[in-house]
Amino acid sequence: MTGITQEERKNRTYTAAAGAIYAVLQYTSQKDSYTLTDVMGLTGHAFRINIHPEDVSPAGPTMFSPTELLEKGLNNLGFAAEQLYGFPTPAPLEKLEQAIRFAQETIDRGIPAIGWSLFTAEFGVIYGYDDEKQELYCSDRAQDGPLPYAKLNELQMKFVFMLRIIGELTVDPLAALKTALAGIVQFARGKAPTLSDTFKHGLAGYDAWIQAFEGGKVNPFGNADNARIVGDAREYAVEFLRSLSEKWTGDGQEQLAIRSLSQEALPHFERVVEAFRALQLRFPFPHGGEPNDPVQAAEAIKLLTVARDSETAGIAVLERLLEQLNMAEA
Amino acid sequence: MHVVTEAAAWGSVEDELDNEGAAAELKDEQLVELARTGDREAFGELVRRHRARALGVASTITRDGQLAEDIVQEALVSAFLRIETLMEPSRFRYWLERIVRNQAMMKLRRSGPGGRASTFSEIAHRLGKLTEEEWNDCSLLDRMLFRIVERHGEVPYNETDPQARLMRKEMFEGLYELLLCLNAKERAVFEAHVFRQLSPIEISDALGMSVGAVHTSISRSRKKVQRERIRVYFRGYAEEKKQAGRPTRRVLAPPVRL
Repeated sequence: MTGITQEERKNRTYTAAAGAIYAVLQYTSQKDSYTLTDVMGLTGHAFRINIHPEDVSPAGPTMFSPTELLEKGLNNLGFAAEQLYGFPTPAPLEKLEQAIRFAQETIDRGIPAIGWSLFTAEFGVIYGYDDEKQELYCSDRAQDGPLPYAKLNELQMKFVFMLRIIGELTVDPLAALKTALAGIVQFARGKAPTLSDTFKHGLAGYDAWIQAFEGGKVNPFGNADNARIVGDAREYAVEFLRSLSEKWTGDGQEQLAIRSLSQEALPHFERVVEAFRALQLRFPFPHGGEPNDPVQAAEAIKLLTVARDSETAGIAVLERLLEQLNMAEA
Repeated sequence: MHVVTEAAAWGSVEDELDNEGAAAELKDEQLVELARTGDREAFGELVRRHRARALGVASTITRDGQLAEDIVQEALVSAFLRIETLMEPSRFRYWLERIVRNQAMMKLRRSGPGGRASTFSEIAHRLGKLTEEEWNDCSLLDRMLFRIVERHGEVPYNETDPQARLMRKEMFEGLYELLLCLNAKERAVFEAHVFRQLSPIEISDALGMSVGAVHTSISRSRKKVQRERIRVYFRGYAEEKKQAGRPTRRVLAPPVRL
């Protein structure tokens, strides 16, 4: 299992935060405005990586606040969102009621809520409720179906969190692209707000990953999971860059810059994708192969070095694009 | 429910005690046996014999006469309700005292200054009995049960008041409804833990189970009872919504596959 096929990729991603955003958008007036590729690109999820330098923990991708993972992205796509004040479980009945009301109110408006760790430790969607049966109807990567109200008190991650869309914002497509690029560059430079300094994000994530392979304490599952999530994200990064030349036609200064520089960045990210495909073959999810075998580790380090160097070059091009767009505005 | 009706009517038992009946001649264990058959006079005699001492225990812990009275009343109701689970009838006095002590501690935990943690240390200091771990182990369930008792406690304790009697009935019905979710074995352990206030080691001796199995059973039962509690709570929630004319079901089209 090396990843999702191209056909499936049209509507699926291993980055569950982006997948949940895309799923929820289908219930809004903007459902035809964005492809999943657009969502991956404009939220910056296509360009993320977060690695624990010792064991390549599977927690990496989600070690960020919901504001970073969901809300900022939704804002850039033109949606105002609101978060439930999350709480650990077991929780008092009133808290559980609050959460259920939170989901019900948005479902009553016709838009599902995004929830955390519903069936599995990932973001999912809450799209229905039945007070008589005492069930929420939820969907995530692991499962689709009823989740009893009582089970909310026993979720895998022992924490209840939800987010819902509360309105639409007016966004200018160019401003949205610039915001996305700024976020992508900030993330690549390791300057995104994170929940743990131990994990390394952006380009430094590749060094952390290499360090982990050198240390020989790689968690096979975490390694395989990160390889498929980051690899899948970069596949979307490539598609996103391709889509920019199709979308930004015209001879204005900005359009020209977007077309030429996205094309220039493209081969760098294509090389990143190739490296990840090889990495996924070597460390298949979920059992993950033998990442602590010295020969395997040496090969992994070679691939990660290629990925890091290519991404470093690609990010430099995107940074130039951002500068040019900012200059054009000034 | 049979037992509930009796418990609700039990407030009048003490009055019957003035009759100084034949019960006074019997030993505790004989009275317990009689009480188990539903003999309210026998239970009344047990109350007469041990009430003062139980009150003393409660007063020592709470240093509050009124609170101690309330605690003993609740403990007696609890004892009457579960007397058939008392395994050694001759030890009625110790059993009752244990219930009183635990209920007194529950009250203190909830009402003490600075919330649970400091109240706990206060109690631990006074009694030098429970470890933090033991307290954590029982707190969730105790809180859940206590909430039921608490609802009852909001009205003056007056058995001649039909309203109070009804409240009490509801309280026990609620409690029993919750316990119906357990199987026989789980109930035995759970009741020993909650009603007879035994430690897991004592339960393991009494029921011939390993201490580990008792812990597992208590923890599983607690989870089941909590689920049941949530179910009961949300039944009320659905009822309120229906009465307010609000929708109780809405399912949107399933989302794209994640």
